Amino acid sequence: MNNKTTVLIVEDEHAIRNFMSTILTSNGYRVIVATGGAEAISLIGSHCPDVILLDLGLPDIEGTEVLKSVREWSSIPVIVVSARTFEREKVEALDMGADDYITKPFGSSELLARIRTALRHSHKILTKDMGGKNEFVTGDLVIDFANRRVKVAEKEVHLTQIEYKILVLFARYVGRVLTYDFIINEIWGIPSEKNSQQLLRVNMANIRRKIEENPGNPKYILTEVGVGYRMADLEN
Amino acid sequence: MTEQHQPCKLRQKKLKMKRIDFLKTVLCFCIATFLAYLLKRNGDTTDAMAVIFMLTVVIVSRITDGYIWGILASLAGILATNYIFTYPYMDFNFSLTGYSVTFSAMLVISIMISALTTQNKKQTEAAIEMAEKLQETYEEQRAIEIVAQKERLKSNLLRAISHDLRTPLTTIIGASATVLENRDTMDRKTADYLIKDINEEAQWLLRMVENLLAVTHISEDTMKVIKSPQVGEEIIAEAIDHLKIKLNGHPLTVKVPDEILIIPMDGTLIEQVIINLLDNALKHAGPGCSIFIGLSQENDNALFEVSDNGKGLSQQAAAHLFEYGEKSANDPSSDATRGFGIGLPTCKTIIQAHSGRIWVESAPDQGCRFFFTLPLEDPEENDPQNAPPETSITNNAPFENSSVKEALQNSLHRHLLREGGGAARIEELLRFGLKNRAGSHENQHKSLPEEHQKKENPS
Repeated sequence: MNNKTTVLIVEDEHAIRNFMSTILTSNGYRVIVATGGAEAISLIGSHCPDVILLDLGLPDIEGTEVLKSVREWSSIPVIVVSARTFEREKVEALDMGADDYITKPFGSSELLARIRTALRHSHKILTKDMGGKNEFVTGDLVIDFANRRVKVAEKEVHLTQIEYKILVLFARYVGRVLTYDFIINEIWGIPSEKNSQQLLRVNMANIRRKIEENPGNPKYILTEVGVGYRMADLEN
Repeated sequence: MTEQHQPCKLRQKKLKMKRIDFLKTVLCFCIATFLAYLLKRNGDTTDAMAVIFMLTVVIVSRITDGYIWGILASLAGILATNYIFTYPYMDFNFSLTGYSVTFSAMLVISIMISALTTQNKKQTEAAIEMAEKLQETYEEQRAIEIVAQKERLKSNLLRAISHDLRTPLTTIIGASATVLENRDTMDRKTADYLIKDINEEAQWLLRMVENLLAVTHISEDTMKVIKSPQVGEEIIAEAIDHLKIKLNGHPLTVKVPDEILIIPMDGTLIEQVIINLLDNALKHAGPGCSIFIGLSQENDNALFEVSDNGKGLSQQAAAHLFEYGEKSANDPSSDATRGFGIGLPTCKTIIQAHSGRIWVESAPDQGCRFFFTLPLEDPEENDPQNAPPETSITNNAPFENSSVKEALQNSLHRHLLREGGGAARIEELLRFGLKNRAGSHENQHKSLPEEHQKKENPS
């Protein structure tokens, strides 16, 4: 019983809370719920959940405040639950240390997939997984770190230095949304400006043309309009 | 505040004007006297002098305000002629034979000219003022009309929504209640069937809400959106990703240009347009039909295409596809057309707000090809083409300031020709280039609105 992964749901709408906890319980998670921000903070402290599902629109305090307070002392994966059309809110939450976001309304399979990705990622950090591995595989895409080579369906792809760096960054955070600012800062080490966003987009378009079968319907690197990019986790 | 200050200001202005008019009159009179003196020295007769002073009277009436200066000038002229230029010099003498007749005639003519010139000038001013006032009223009316059109659009949208909301809600409420109340007696297959319906209708409602949200992105004042550079293929990819579950079983082809195409747009809105078109294709083309999505550059525009090879549309259906509520309002079997909903009209609203174009090419059994364009250059904000067609009134040109006067003068001229009589005679008498500006005061008031009406209804 105690070995079960614990998920904290922070959500003020009882109907949403209801169906989320039903899905998670029936998929073998232990669920605790909080209806407000203050309650969430105290529950996080006392229960140390493995994943937090955080609604940003809470009645007492802003969801982002909860996120800030958690990040002060812990790296527990936080998945932000937000309403559609608030791109800025999503970007803000991701840049403040949220691991991922999921948009309302969502299906059960999507919710479970996000939780799995978040958990896997947190385990990777714990075991320093990436450093030990020589290869990254998702679908037909293979990145060979030792030889700095990229293959798609056994065919070698020639990438520029920058393109390779971007792809490795995505591989390191596979399944997670990376904001424009985050990528630009990691690759070029400069704060994001309009020009650098354009530069990133051109690079992304070039990568797509090299690794995707159809750049108009990509398989590996997905766009989150107004937020950033995500590498699809196609391992299984 | 301005109104309180106005009378005071006006008085000051009037005083100043009077001083200037006085100076003008004195100056004109001095020049006339000097000319007369020169003529006298060259041995000319008093007839020429009478003409010079009459000319002075006309000029003074023309360049000053009110009757008074012209009359003063004429009196001064008569006195000066008598005093300086007729025997006995430097003295008044009204007893000379014929002089009294000459001078009285001159006085009367001067006063008449002065009066007529002044009246004419006043009328021209009044006419210009009228025209300006009319233009103001006209602009006000236009503003009201635009608001009314917006309201009409809004109420059409609301009607379409409330109609479209009721049907899925009926299913959701009915089906969920059925499952809840008959859980024990119902077999599993029936329950699944009902729950699936609930799910589908809820999805439909969600798309509806997303469309409505999209429309709120468009500024109400300018009917425009805030654009930022976006990569065309990324928008297409995300739209496809959004509908990927529904796309199952439909062969999908996507064609994007080799060169990256960066297009100024509101990314979420254009994504919504593609989702709507794609959703529409999936719903109406029939099961198993194939879908094509294309992006290319056509001159200064990005051209998007969403096509299917399904059963297509009749020309009649295609004509009303992009109108809010048009179809359901006119069609007795409106429930059957619910599928069109607000999706396509929203597409049109969004594309228009981007200064683009959207259209459909279709024939029965030949599939549907939806196209839309987005300009690659960010156009001027006030580009007249951007304005929704309802708000652009094409015949406003004659009411721009300079052409107002022109139109007005033409109208006055025509009026003058019609009326003939006094006005034409004055013109003849004066020959001072005032050809187009005569006409009686009263008639102008009548003729102006007429002119406006003609302009507004070219038919």
